[in-house]
Amino acid sequence: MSSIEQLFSTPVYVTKVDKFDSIQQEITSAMETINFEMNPSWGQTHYLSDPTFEESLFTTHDFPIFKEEIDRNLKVYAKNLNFEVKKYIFHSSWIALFEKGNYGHIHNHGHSDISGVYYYSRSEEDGHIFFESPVDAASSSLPYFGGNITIPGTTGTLLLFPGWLRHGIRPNVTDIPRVSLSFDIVFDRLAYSER
Amino acid sequence: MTYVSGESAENPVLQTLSNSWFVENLYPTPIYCAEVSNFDRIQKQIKSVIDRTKFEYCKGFGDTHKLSPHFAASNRQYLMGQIPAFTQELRMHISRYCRELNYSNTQYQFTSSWMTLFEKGDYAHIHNHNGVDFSGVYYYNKEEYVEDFFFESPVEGAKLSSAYYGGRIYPSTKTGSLIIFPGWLYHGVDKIESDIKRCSVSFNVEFNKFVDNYPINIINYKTVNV
Repeated sequence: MSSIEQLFSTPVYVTKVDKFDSIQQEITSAMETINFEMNPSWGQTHYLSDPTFEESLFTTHDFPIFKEEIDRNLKVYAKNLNFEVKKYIFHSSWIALFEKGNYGHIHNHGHSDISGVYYYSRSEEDGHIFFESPVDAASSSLPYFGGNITIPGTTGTLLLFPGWLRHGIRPNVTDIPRVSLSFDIVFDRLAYSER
Repeated sequence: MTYVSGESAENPVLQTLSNSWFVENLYPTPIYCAEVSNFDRIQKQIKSVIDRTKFEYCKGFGDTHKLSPHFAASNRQYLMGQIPAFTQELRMHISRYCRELNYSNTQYQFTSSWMTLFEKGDYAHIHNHNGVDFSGVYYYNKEEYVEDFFFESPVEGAKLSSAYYGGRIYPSTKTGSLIIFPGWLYHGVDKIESDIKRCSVSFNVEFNKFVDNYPINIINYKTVNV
């Protein structure tokens, strides 16, 4: 009698949003006011709604329906993590535009607890997000997998994942602009500490 | 910054979600757990070695737990030759583990093997077996179902956010249990509270990296089917 116990996995949440039309409308309205620019220190990677990340999109624009959708899905994800969602903030949020040839370098979202991305527009063939193994040692031993994992998505897909998980965006090789809305969630530490 | 109240979505609301969501558990660390089938013969052979073994504390560790002389570099591989029933059964379990990992390389060697003795108050500091592919432990004798052996999470990021679990996991073990795990995975043994002597056989396995047919896992990417 034998078994394999899969320990210490990294859970990533994937869904299609329920209120697709309303959410698309909210983002379309915001897009009309945005002047996309590249972050000069990153090179010609992709365009951002605010390359300085000083202003959160959720603060400068209204996204009531999308925030509610995130909130509901966050609760489901958290339940799966055996974690109770109390008080949280959207620490940052932005829109990224990938034109033909654009990509996203490998990075993580620092101290964010949970990060997310929603695909407003994209082709299904390319521009996929990929994750890097959080277990460096696994890539040093041949029997174990320590490589990249790609999660394809379509317009209307919402992903939630750990802010500390390194990820990148594969090049957009089509003429279809890839537009996504990303956000970082930070939980209020005081709400979880014993008083 | 916008504050959002977590109260806005109580459980009933969750039920209104579509069924299209799923959670993909990426990058799990696979641990092989088994009970040996040739128990009596294996126990007899190990007992025979124990009866003529002098266990001693390792100077570099402090008085944590006692080790058989096989632990010394000059005696490596010697123990496995003394317990052939265990070695034979272990090879079968290693094959099973490799199959589960989708790893096709069959050329490996036991680079080290030794016995460990824990008495009341003993423990093992957190460590890994750096440089080897598989490590493992067989419990010759231990207090049944007392969870004293633990793995530390290899996911450093998970320790930084309370939303994710980055703590320890204690596998359930008893006399006759065999566990095989990645050599790079940090692990340790809590202080033994019982008067029952805890005795185990440990081993390290290294695969030959110079083989013609490269193993499947060298493919360094995967795609999740959404």
